Amino acid sequence: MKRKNIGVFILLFLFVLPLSVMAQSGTVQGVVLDESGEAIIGASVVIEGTSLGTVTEFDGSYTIEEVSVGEVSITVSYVGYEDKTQTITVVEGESVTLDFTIGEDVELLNEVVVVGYGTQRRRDLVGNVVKINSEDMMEQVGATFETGLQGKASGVNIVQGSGAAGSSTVINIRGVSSISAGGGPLFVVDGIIVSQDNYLLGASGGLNNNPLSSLNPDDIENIEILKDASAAAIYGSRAAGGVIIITTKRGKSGKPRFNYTTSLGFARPTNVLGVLDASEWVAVQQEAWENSGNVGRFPLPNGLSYDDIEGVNTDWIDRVIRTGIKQEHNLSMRAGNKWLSAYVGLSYSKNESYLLNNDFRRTAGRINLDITPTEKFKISISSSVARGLRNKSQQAWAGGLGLAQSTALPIYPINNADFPVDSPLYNEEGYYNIYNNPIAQSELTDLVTREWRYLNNLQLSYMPTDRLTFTVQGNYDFTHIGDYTLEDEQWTTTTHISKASVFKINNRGMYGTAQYDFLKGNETHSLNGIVGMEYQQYNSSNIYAEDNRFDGQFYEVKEYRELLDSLNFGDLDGYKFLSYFARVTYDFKKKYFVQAVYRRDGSSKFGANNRFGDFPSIGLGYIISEEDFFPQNKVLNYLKLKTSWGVTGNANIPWTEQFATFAFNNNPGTINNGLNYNGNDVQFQIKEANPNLKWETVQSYDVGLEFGWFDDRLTTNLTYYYKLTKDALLREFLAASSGYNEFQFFKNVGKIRNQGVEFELRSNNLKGNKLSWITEFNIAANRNKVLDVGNATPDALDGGFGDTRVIEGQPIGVNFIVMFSHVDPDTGRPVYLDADGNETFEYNPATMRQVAGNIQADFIGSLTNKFSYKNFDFSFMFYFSKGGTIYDDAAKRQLGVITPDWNYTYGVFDRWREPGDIADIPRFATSMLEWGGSGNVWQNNHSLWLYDASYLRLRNITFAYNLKPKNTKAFKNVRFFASGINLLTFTKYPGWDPEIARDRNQEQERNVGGTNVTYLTPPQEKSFNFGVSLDF
Amino acid sequence: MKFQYIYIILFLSTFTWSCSDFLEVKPDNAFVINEVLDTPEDTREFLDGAYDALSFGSVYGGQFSLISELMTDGVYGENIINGDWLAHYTRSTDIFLGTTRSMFENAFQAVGRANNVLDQLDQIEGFSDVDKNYIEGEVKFIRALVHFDMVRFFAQPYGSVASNTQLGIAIRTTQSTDLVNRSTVQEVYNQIIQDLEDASTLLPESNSYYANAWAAKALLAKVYFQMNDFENAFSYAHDVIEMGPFELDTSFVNKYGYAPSNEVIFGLQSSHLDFDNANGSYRGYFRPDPSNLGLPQLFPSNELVVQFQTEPDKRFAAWFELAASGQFLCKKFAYDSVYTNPVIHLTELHLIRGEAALENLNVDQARTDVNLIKERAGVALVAPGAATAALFLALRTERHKELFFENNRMHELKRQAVRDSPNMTIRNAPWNCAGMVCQFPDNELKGNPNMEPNPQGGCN
Repeated sequence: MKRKNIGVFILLFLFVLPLSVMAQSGTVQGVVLDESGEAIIGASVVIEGTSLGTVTEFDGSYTIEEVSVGEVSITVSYVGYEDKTQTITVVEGESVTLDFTIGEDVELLNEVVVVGYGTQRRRDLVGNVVKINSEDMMEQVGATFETGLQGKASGVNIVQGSGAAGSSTVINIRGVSSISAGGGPLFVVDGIIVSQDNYLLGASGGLNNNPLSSLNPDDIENIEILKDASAAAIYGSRAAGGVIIITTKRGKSGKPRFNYTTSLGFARPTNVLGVLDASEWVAVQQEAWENSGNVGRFPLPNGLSYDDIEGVNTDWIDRVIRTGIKQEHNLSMRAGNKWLSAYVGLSYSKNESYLLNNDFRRTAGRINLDITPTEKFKISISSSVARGLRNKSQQAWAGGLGLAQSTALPIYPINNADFPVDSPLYNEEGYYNIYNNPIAQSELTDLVTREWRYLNNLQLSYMPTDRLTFTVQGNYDFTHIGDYTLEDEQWTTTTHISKASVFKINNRGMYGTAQYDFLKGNETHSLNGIVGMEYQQYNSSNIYAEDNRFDGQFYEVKEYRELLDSLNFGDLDGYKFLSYFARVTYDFKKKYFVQAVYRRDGSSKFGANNRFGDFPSIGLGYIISEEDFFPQNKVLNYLKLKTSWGVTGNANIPWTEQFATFAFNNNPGTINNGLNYNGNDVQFQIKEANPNLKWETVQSYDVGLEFGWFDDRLTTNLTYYYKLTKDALLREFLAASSGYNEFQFFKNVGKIRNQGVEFELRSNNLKGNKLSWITEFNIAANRNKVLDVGNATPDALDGGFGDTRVIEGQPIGVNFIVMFSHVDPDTGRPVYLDADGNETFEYNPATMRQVAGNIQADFIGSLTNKFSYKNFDFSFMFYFSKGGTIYDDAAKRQLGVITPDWNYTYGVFDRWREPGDIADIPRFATSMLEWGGSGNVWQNNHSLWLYDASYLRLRNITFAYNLKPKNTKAFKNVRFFASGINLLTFTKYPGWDPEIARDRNQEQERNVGGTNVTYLTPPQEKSFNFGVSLDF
Repeated sequence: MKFQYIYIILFLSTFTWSCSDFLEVKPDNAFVINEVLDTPEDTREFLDGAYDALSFGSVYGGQFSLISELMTDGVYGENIINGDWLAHYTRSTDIFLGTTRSMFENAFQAVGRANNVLDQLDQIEGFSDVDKNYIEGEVKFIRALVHFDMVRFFAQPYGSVASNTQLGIAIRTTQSTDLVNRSTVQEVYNQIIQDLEDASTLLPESNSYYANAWAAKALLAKVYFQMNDFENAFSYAHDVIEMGPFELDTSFVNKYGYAPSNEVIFGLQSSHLDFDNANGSYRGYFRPDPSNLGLPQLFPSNELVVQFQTEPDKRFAAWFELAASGQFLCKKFAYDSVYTNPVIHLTELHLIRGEAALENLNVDQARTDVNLIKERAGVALVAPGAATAALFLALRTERHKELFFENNRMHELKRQAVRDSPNMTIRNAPWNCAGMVCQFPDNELKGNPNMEPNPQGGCN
């Protein structure tokens, strides 16, 4: 085949997929069975040295046509079974039979693991890489794939976003190693370092944007989590938070095989908290009113009279919670022949949360093609498009459930018509008090996020010799995301207003690698190297538009949609990365392993004085059990020691931080309202430059032991790691009197330490033909300590609302609040502790705040059991998190000082009433002054609102039945399944739900207060899902 | 084998292009200061940036006046519940208040922006020495003005401790990221006086609507009066009244409006084209647009209103209106967006000169000044030969009436307490209890571990 015709051939193959013509051929056929004689469906059967192959049918049979005559080797492989190769002589024009019986593969060590710009076998790994196959996570996947990772890998702390649909998940691998720079992992999808900005739309709708939600979980083949520096250093300056590599499904050789999976689910909140009804609310208010020395009935808010509220008792929570319905449809096809293999996936899902008018819809399509025109050349295309549509509550906490439990009072009716007929407020039209009425909010405002995401790459590989591979990959990752709001004229009190805030993100990258096998064929030594170069360019632009000329969302009206698209999105430059990297692996007798990695990264984010950073790592592996002196025994059959050292970096800060910036009127001659004095243009400096700004670096050490027991029926891993963050990026705070417009600026001043232990266990308890039982368990403990923060005071490094801080000598995210001691039995007043630990009635945050707890768990882990009996599967997973504290930032209003603008939770009933009472809650009062503080009821933050964050949760339980139809060719397999997510939770936390990820506005807030701080945050959902999966 | 190495080298070299400029990207608004502040026109725009900050709602656009009244006796309203306002009202501010945060932020933005100009002044081409003097004078006036008001809100008043060694605020004479600790009140006043004396000689007598030499002298009079230094207060007030171009308006609202006023010595201007922050807060707090539901967030207190009801007073009709709800509204400030935020006007200088004269035993001058104000208001004059005590009362009453909602009340009561009323209580709180001084907000404290907060409490 002439090479210049490749392009023509590619086109040809795209349209004429199954066509292939070879001369001088015969046919091979046979069946593939397991050791018990059961047919194996879907096993891959490949003629060695070619890409000719197929997969077995429902009865285990296979047929390969057009096999070259002569002796051929045929290999059968199937997940969980050992590969088997047999040879046969093919005769022209005839059909020969070759049957296989394959045994289960207990040796997981031969598994291929994706490690960044390449793959390795698990046995050869010196780094700490966790591989999660999609079937292991699909059972517990919610709307987005990363929820499926919870509990699957030790030391990977995953806190799901709130129960609001499409909210983003907080992921921390081996503790939080950054304070002000991004603390989450790097995401790589099919080699693309994807853009992953959770804060693009701020916290609009009470949730952070989740860019990963555009990935269809069903398209994912497997996920690798690179935990230590040896594994992650190949990603250099962006790998300090670990790396999550997502590999999507690709075509498999054989006839087209289809899968259709559909499911239907029902969602409810994990817990519903009780708040006061109208009569309870009035009684509580009255008691506080009288306690504060007033007489008569307390004045109702909003000028309401007691007659007006007669008979009104609105259960707002009940009105904003519903049973959310989830639907999902996935259709996929995999096929392949010698030259071309393809995966095509289509999906639609509609995921309603339990919150009124809150849902997330995704329509996604993916095509992955692998074209092999010659044996030396390969073209891979991965292309996906997804559309996400999110209907949001007007701030989940303010407009939805949050409002329902706070300022939507039970004495307020929903509609004016609900007042008693003789009330002067009775009116047949309209909602009552719309801004404190979640029903009115949901009717009168419409918040929608629409997102288009395209992830594309083209990879060319060329193997001029069997030792050398060149790879070039170009990536294009494009996001078009917009927040759209439509406010009714009742809401704005003027006209209806349509608002659009739209972002376009272009994330382009390209890398090239050369991989060389120095000692191919050498039995004792093996030496492989890869060198590469990569660049990445990220641009984002945005536009905001507002209009009142039409009654509809911007995207709903054609001419305005077009208008919006035609507007200039601005020409904002973004950041760039330029990188060089190399990895060398050597092993001796498959017993001693060495891996060295080096990456040099340059980024426009950093100052001229520190633009490039170096990120080396080295890892050693030693399979002790391969040594002659290691006693051959049945108990411990495998023992490997791994250790590594390396440096990774973190560059996840806003890209403009190194510059001095200025504000000025961009359109001279026009009035810029924000930038003028008496009609004259003004200019000013926003902030100073920092030309020394550079990466923060994490030095990591890792020691691990891998054990295989009883012929690998039981495997355990034990790992210790130590990570030291140096030059940590801190958002130092200038005094307001410095006179700048931005007081916070990034400086490399901090030092943070994380160290921890991880333990994993996997046991094949029962391994029969009919009954099998697998247990998996993992547990990890991380200890985090901030060693240095320079001049920063606790308040300079805050976690946003919720009073979490960073303090030297403490873990990141301590609850820095006034210590509450007890309720004084004589007076009912709250007794606090001052800085010296003495009891006092005074509440003064300026001098009395102390470390009262911290948001980080002591240890986390999970226990999974999987049973399989004949055609039935049953599995369940418990997830647990022990230690840490939850700060309920809304408790100061829901349990605190009584004012007639909030509702209260049942906890208030345990208040002090008369001298001698031992109570949890102080005497009701109408002013914070009576509780020792200022006139501001919001300044009532102390340890009375702090709770133990520990919980144990039945994360997932799944039943499945595999109907293996023997008498029909229509379906190869039919699987029915039913699963429950978050069905049971055990916790002492009295609030909504102990698994809390709050909406935040930037990375520091997420690192310092992103979890375990709640402010009316909607609880997680529990759901029941039923579905069927058809293979045909 | 060698052949393969050549492959690799070839491959790498084709992939590695010249990339020295590749990483050079910057946002549109990133510059080195000399690139953007290098002409007289730029200088004017940078200085206007400082005036703009002064006019913000959180500074002279309303909040200074609001806090001064909330902490004393000038206002009431249903909106004083729960939040920041109640903390001021109950004299129990703490470090987490939005009001004090925005005061610090915006007031010192004016200082920082002005200082930035002074820091760069030698690098800017196209200025004569005289021009440079004018610029330096404006910068020093702006920073003196802000330091004066901020030290009055955030420290015990001048004279409350004889040595004036009580902690004041951080003095900012350059825009920088350096940590600056609090100076004593004496040091802050020294800096203010130094800056204003410089400004009064550097500035021209006429300078459009920007600060001029008269404004600097008028502010000096105000500063000395606050210090109870009556000799200096008298002489600067006298100088401005007698030598300056200002005259009392016959209208009671001109000086707050857009119409030209001969009375305004220094104010913050809003153009009629402009819907910027200037005076937005005045509008919301005290005088919303009647077409938009009508009621302000705050009403003049009864204590204030009765001052105008003891005898017929032209100002009563000019400044108050009885709403349908039965509450009095303040209409000193127009509800549309067009007006001047009062900072110093001639009325105040007459009241300063009068009281300073009386302190200096110049009774006739005192009576002349107070009667000038009284006559315009159409109220009974102080008769010749009236007792000194009656004159003091008349002057202080006129000050209370003329300058309500103009960031006068709290500072004036404290001055009086220092001067002659050590047992004064202000709405039942001792005038010098800790809470009568605003607590520093966290945005001023948290950048500097050595920045000391104020004591709290003691007022309730």
